Amino acid sequence: MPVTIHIPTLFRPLVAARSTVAAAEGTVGELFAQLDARYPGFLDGVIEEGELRPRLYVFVNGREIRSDRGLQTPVGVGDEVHLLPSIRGGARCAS
Amino acid sequence: MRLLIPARVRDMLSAYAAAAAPAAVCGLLLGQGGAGEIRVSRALPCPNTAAAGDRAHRFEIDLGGVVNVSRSLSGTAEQIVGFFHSRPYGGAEWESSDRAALALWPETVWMVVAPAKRPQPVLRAWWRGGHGAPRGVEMEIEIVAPSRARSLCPD
Repeated sequence: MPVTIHIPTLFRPLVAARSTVAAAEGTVGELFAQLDARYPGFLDGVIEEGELRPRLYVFVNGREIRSDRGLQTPVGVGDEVHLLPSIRGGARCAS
Repeated sequence: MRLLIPARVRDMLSAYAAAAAPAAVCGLLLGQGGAGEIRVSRALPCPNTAAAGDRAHRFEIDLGGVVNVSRSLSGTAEQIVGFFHSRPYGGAEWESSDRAALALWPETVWMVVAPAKRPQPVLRAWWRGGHGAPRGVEMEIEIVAPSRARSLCPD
C-alpha cells in the first residue's frame, strides 16, 4: 500500500481537486517532490526557501514533523501524511 | 452558502462559550457538505492552546487533535466541515484575523460565537469559496428544529 497524503482544501487546486493523493515511500521532502512532478507547482505551494511555509504543518501518522526531522522525516509504505495550515486567530492576532 | 445547525448544537456552543468566559473557546464542527449547504451534526470542543495570558482574545486549535479526529472519521459519513471560536468580550464580528485564517481554510466554515450578547447569544459564520474566491462571505444560518435534527444527528 502506498503512502496516503491528505490534502487540505487550500492545496487541492494544486492536485486536481483531490482530497488525498498516493505516493511512494521516501522522506517527506521526496514525497513532495513526487507530487510536484505529477502536479507542477505543488512544491512552490508548500515550500518556501527550502522549508515548510509558515503556518503549514505536516503530520506523519499523527506526529508533527517540524520539531523532529522536518522534511527529512522518513515515510513508509502504509503511512499517512496530513498537511494542515494552522487554525488560530483572535482580536489581537497578527496573521 | 447555507449552514444548518441543530438547535442542541447551537445551545451547546452558546453554553460552552459562556461558561468558559473570559477565556475564548474553540473547536471543530463536524457534519456533511452538500450542494449549497453545510449540515453540522455536532461540535467538538478543543483545548485553546494559545498562550495562557492571551486566551481572552486569542485562540489556537491543536493540529494534532485535528489529525486524530480526521483519522477517527475515516470511513464515516461525517467530516470536519469547519471551526468555531468565541469572542467573550465582543460581538460576533468579522475581523482581520478571521479573514487571514479563512484564507488558509477555503471551503471551510468559520464560526464566531459571541456568548455575552443579550437576549440571545450570537452565532455568525463565514465561508470562502474555492480557488480564486477573493474573500469570505457570511453564511445564512438555519437552526434546525429537534424533530429535523434527529435525522442529522442520530444518537
